[in-house]
Amino acid sequence: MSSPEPVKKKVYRQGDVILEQVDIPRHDLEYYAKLESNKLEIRSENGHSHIMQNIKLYRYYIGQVIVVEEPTPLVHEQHPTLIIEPGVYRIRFVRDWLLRESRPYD
Amino acid sequence: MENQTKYGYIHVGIGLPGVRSYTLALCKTFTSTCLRDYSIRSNVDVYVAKVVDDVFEKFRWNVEELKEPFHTYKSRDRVYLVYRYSDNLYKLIKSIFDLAIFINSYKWTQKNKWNIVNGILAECNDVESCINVIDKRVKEIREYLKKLRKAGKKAFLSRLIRNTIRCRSIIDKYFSDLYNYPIFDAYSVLYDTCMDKAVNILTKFFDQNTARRYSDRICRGNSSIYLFARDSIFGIKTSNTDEYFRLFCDSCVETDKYVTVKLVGAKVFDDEVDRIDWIAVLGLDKYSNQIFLHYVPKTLVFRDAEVCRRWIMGLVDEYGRTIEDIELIEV
Repeated sequence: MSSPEPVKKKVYRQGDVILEQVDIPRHDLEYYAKLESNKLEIRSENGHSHIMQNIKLYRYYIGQVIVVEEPTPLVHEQHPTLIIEPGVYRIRFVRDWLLRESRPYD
Repeated sequence: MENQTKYGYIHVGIGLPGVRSYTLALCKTFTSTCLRDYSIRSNVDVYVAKVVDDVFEKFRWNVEELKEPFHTYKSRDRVYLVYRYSDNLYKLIKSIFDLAIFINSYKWTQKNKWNIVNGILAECNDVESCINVIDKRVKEIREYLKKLRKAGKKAFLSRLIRNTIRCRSIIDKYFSDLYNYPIFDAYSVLYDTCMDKAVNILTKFFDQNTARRYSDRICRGNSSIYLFARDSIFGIKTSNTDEYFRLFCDSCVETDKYVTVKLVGAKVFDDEVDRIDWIAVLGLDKYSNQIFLHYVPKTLVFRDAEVCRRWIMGLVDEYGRTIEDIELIEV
């Protein structure tokens, strides 16, 4: 009897915003993370924003994390809308090798 | 002769290969007290100890003077062979160690390694001839490798030129700026001055934080020209040796959502790639009509533009290997 195929993690990209599915139990988020908002809004370099409504945005030790309870659209004026499936996602941005070791300047 | 009275004995420590390093020591005594108050001692790193052991064993059973040591003893899981000191014998043992380290430092197959050792053994009869043969063979191999490296660098240049021509239509259509981009000068022998100049330029295009971080990297870096992309492409010069700098396009991809090209900034000298300065991905998001340029690690030099683009998104590691089995959904 063959073992069931492992479920692939979903990674969504809209412009330079990346949502990466992560395995974080929700009760961990409730206990250890700080709820920041019920809406996600990330401003792009060109002035437009990536927006998601009706989600929970947490500040966790790995960065910002969102919890999506039901299929929710990620909207941007210049990009087609992405429907994000329910799950826990980490918010990431594109990376650059030249900036790999440099620390942010305050 | 002077050394002979000074040292007297050569101790060769054959440890447990791979677990402990390999020791060569010169001492006045032939007993294990040598380990306590040795005169000259050299250790071979653990990672080459196995090769040194194998090569030394080969020579040991082929060279008369190494066959029968004057004395042997065991100390801390290691067998020590003791030979009477002579300049030539010491030189031979050192040469055998160096040969083993040399053949281990290149990605030769086991068969090739032993072909080299067996070739040397076939020609050497005594200590002196062995030293000469090892010396001659190592010189020949070094020369051969030098030619091979040169050929590789030339072949790499041909590849870059060929691929740049292949991607020309995409560059013409989407990134025609690449043929004639403005270059700002931030060159200074002093880091602080270079930083000031670079920050002044980059803050016009990036936020203060990003501009300072980019400036820090480019002023510490070794490349002559770094490229950036905002509304258009521009370069920043951080060295005065930009005459050898050339820009190539090694790979390109066009889909309905984006266009990406993999850029290679390299120093070309004497019709070969002397050094790769940096590798970057230049792209165009067709939806937002925004161009972007991000640097990727040099370890992706032989990977295509798509793998480099995936590195930027954090989906592959520094060697282009997929980190996790994922489903990418993008617009």
